[in-house]
Amino acid sequence: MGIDTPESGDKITQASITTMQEAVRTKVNSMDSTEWGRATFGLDQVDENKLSIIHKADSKTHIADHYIQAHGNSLAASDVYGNWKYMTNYTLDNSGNGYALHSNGVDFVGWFNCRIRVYETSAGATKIPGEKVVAAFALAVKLNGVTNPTVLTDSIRVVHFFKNADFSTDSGGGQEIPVSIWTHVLLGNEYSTVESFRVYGALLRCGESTGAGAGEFNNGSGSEDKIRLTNGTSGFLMFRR
Amino acid sequence: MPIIKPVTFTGPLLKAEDAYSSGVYNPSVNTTLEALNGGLSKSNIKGTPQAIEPWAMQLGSFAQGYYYGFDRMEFIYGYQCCYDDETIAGLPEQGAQRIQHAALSTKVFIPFKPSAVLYGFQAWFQHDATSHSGVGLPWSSARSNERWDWRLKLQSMTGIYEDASNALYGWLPWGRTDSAAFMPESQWRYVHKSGMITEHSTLTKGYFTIEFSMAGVLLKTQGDAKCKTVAGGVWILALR
Repeated sequence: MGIDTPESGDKITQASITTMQEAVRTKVNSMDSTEWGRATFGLDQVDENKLSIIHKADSKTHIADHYIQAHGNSLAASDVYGNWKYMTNYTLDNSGNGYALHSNGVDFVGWFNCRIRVYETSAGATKIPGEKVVAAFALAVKLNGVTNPTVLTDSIRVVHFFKNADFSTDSGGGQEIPVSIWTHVLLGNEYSTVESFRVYGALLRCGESTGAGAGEFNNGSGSEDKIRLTNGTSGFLMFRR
Repeated sequence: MPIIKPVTFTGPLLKAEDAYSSGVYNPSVNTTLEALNGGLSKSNIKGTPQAIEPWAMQLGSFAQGYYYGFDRMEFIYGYQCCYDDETIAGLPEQGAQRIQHAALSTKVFIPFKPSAVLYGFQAWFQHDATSHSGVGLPWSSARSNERWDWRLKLQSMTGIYEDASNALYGWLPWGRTDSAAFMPESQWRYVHKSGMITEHSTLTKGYFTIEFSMAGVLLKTQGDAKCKTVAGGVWILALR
């Protein structure tokens, strides 16, 4: 496909231009992978508006304070969507339309982060959390045709509070606990749509399945302890398989 | 279906305009050889499937990123801080008086228009902000909770993403108290934050700047208070 360099004194004619252009366009119009080398194509050859490795992506930031006032009994998926707090401020659902999956399935990467500011009683008074109390978070997707949300069990995380009597004795306290979760799951072609991407949170007693020890963790109906979260972000990426 | 057309001339003479606009180079249409500069499509490819195999693409064609990590201590001292712009309850100064954290700030060139940009930082901090009981800061006479706060600012050539995402702001976890033996300042506090931009219309090729800044809200007598960044890193990943 080389273009002959004119010799000194050669005349450039319509024919020479046509011959050169014809040789190149014939190749370019019908490129054969057997003639390509490794790393033949780069940034400059492909149309930036027609090529993307991302199937879907979305994210959301919630800035206002947000509470988790729900106790869980375990880290089981059924308990996550059954008893934990569904943190709707971080839900991504494409305005209710969901996100269509690729026919080959997708690699789904989801993430969530926020900051825990204060531990409080149900009445809103600051409170020192018991040593066995942990905050727990989980990510889930609601898939079209699946009754319950699919909890991404690899995403479940627990966060211990500082062993610090001052953790919640001042609502303006200069302390926070950062929370950050990333997870990945394969969503095969048996599903058509992710209706929503969800975040769940709860307070749990570490090592105990039920009960509310005095001073540890009030989880009775109407008197549950809660934690105040401040701004956070949720998001996901889907890559076609 | 071939997309590059034969060159055509409007007369017997060789006119440069004809050669360039109809066959060799016309950046406004991809039916000239200019298609090689970003105009190739599936129709140019022969065979089944009509696809470019991954090995034929140069590394970095679809994703480019940068991670800068460090493991030497960075120091910020209370003497560098002020809070004379304390106009929002509980929030320290917002702008120019913040202290830039050189090790967690960088500038990255992204050579294509991305569909999504992920970014974030992680770091271990060791600081001695203290909870003082019975000693008043200007806004609290009962208890004074000193703190260090951080802010991550992401900016491209066409957009500033800080304002749209105040989530890129936070307080470091506790340093120590003056009334209990808990929380010794020698402990390291881990902080991580990440985010993503997907507003395709505002994303362009070019430089992306990440600036990490800190501010200390400290008792006025605590000028020698310090915040050490023991180790950390800042990263950005652009996906086409």
